Amino acid sequence: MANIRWGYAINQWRNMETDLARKDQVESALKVVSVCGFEAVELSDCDGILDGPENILGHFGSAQKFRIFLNDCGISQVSSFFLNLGNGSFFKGGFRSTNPDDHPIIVGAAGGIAGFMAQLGAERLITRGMPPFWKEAPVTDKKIKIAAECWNNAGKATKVSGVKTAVHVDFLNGLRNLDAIETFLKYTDPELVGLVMDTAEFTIAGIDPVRFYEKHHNRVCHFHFKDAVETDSQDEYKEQNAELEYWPTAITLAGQKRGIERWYYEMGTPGGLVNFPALLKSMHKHNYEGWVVAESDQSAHAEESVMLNGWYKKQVLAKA
Amino acid sequence: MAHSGPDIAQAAATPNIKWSYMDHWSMVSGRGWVTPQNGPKFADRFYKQIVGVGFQGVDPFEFRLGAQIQIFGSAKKAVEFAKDRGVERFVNMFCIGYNENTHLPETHDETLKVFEAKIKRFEDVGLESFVVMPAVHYWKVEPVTDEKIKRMAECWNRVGKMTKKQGVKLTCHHEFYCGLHHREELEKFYAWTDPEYVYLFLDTAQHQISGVDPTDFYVKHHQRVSGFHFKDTHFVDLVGDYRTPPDPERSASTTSRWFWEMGTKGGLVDFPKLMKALKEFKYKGWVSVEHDKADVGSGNYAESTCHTKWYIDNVLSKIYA
Repeated sequence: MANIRWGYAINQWRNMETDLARKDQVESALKVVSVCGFEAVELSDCDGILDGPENILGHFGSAQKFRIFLNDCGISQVSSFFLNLGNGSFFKGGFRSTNPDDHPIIVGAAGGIAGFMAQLGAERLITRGMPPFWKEAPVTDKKIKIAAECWNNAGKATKVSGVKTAVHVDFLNGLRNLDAIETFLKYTDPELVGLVMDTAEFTIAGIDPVRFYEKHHNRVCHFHFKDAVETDSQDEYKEQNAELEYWPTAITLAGQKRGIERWYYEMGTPGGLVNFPALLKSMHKHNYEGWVVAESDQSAHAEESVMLNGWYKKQVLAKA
Repeated sequence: MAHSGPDIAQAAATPNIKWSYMDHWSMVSGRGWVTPQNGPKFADRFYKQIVGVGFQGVDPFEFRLGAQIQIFGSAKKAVEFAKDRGVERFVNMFCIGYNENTHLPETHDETLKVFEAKIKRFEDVGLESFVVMPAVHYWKVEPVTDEKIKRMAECWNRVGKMTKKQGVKLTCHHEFYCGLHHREELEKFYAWTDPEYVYLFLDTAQHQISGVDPTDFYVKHHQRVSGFHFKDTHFVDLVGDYRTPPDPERSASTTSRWFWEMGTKGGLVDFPKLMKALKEFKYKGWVSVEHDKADVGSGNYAESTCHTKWYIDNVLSKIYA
């Protein structure tokens, strides 16, 4: 796995407003990530005191001092940053990638945040392609093209700092069906915009990650590794409030009617649907070079999730 | 049984005080800690617990009430859901999503529009008041000059006049890190705001942390007080934590947990003294309990809430009810 570097998304620690609200909480999370065998962290703009330049500078003084703090906890760098801008969230200004009038603000923010995150080592700026499906439907070719323009321009802005814009597909997003994703890829410049393959999101949306990667490996520039035990077999992504705006993070209501409390699970969960060894084999075949970030959003217990993913990485994937 | 005369019975039937609960609630679920807004079954658990322990009203945050409205499809349905479980009403809503730089007059027109939109969005809820932090963080506005306080007052006079016409009080809550929290600043602000339009929402812990005695402050401004957050603290800010960027409530040097439920060892707020003052001025209306970040240090909201209601029933209500 020499070409692959492993990170962990810290978002699973941020469910309540009191989470990741102090340095000692951040230190604890970073040390858990480090000791379980992950060298970097992925941050997002929902991550409490790590949610962007203002908070990081306010709490740590400078990017350099924050990086020292990371290193002291056993973390080498920030791998990537997840920007929830352009998906229409009220808490992020309501800007939509499908509205050309909003593009200058989205592009400006992407460029600005990439400049800061690059100082922390980040190589990817991750974003959702569109607002949630239930808000954006019908997802037309025209809307996809407008969103593609937005992220092409954001890609240009982030490239200045050496950071690539990578669009994340998730099963509740407007950009979630195979046709829509392939149309989006057609309209985006491969030099400027890549794709994040989130294994659970693809699987829940009914897309086999391995087959997709075999076909589009040249566009995938970042991975989120997590498992799923159910698929959205009832098209719950179309329902009103499938994803509910909320603070500090959006709430997934999809699936609640049939008792699904969480969609995402640790790698190696019994009944897990993602074939991680097969995907890893395909990644090797295509010489994937870059970050794989384990993610455990909706975890019932953050530390346990990291330990389980750490075990799977060392005991299963390292031998695959 | 010596207290069972007719006057007492009548007082019990028509209490002067009703107790509301400010919703910071969290509970454990299959996906970890969640709030009541994570779906109807969580809202159901929350309301039943709050009503079960004896609260009559709920004070929501704007973003929490907004989520409830989305989940249930309308404000009326969100209210019905709560009422079906014994909640009498939503009382005070803590507002977010406006420009807190109220010392800058160029923000005022936009702020007024934002609050007009809030009035419309929540008109079917029947709220008694909008609670606001009337100034931005201290470190973002200092030095807090008379000129700036006058601009803040102008802003809220305009907003309060508009909301009052629509039947909602505009009431100000002074966090210990807010640009208006020293006694001198507070006195000027309330001198320069119109008592007709701008009310005071007295948070016992926040004032105590700022070195302002909540009872003394209430006694002086009792006619302006439209509501309370009853919560305790174990600390006074003696080192200027209020000016710590970016967020003194979470990252100040004194403590990681500023706020405590009533009745804990080391609590600094003299609630019996305040309750006597409420009795003296014949306060009638809602008093809200707030457990702000009760989960810091492995605490939990259910436990804090039971303890505080025990304190209300066994200590405070014996003074004034």
